[in-house]
Amino acid sequence: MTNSGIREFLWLLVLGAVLGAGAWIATEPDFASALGTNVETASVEEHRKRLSDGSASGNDAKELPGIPVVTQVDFNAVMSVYFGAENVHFIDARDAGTYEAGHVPGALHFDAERLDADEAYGHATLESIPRDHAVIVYCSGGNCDLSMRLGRNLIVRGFRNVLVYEGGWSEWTSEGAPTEEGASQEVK
Amino acid sequence: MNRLAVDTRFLWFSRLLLGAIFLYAGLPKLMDLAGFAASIQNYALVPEGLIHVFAAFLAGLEVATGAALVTGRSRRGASLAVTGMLVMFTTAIFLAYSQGRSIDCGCFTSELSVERAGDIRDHMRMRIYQDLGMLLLAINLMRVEWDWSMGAVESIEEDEE
Repeated sequence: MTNSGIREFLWLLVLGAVLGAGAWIATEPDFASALGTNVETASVEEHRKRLSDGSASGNDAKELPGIPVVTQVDFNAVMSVYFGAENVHFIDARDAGTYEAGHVPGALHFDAERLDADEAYGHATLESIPRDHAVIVYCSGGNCDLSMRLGRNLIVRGFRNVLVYEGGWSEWTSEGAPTEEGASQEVK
Repeated sequence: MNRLAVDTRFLWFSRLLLGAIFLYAGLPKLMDLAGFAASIQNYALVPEGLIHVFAAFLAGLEVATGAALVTGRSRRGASLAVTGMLVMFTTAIFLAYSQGRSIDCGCFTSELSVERAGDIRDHMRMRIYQDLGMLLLAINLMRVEWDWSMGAVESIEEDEE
């Protein structure tokens, strides 16, 4: 009985692999390109250089085939290099209500899921941002999913210096950094 | 042995429930492998280069196991597969939760529409409890299927007669 059970289990593994491969082929090429974010980090000095260069060469440096590289940025680099600097845009990926209750001053609000699903959403707003500007995306913090998702989407849309602020809103407020309240400008 | 644990109707209910849940969870993942791969990536447990392959295989295995449980085919293999996957899912969510992370667990594709860290952690905790409940059903199923399936069930049925 044990042997037949093992055979059944192996059969299920094979069936699972076949189903998975079939789904992969059916969704190709979207699957390999739409997802998967390779993550890298950079020092404060590297961040300064990126901002002055107007691009993040690191975004291509370690890129796996079809997988956009998102660079993570910590609180120190955000405050010392990006916050208040020119050519830097903050994007809040949390839900609209949470954004209105408090966000990084000047941050835009984007719905990450809608940005993934609707190509027209945010098109005009994003077109108004030069692709070599630094875009810092954040959500609630603690490796929340939406900032990574939004960051990947922005890279696919041609932004060359996309940074995900890993600590997010929870770290921003716990560090006593400036905040503001109110609705975002309309995303077109 | 607890009579309920080997009751044929309870075992049938367990198989059907687990199978239906795995089909319900697995089919949308098969149709949105990229979204499922993103969820797996959040756990930071699978090497980057293997995430796509792992996502495709796991989604396929969920559907295959769910179908086997619902139809009653390959029951011993399916009980082992469902138990193994639930151990893996529960461990992964528990690890992420205990590390203080707030992530979409990926249990069911695109189930989260909010991004408040507190809400997500409540959601993760609920999923851990749900997975533990399903794991108990799966372990019981496996125990019966692999150890004493017919003998134990028959003895209960004889008792009832």
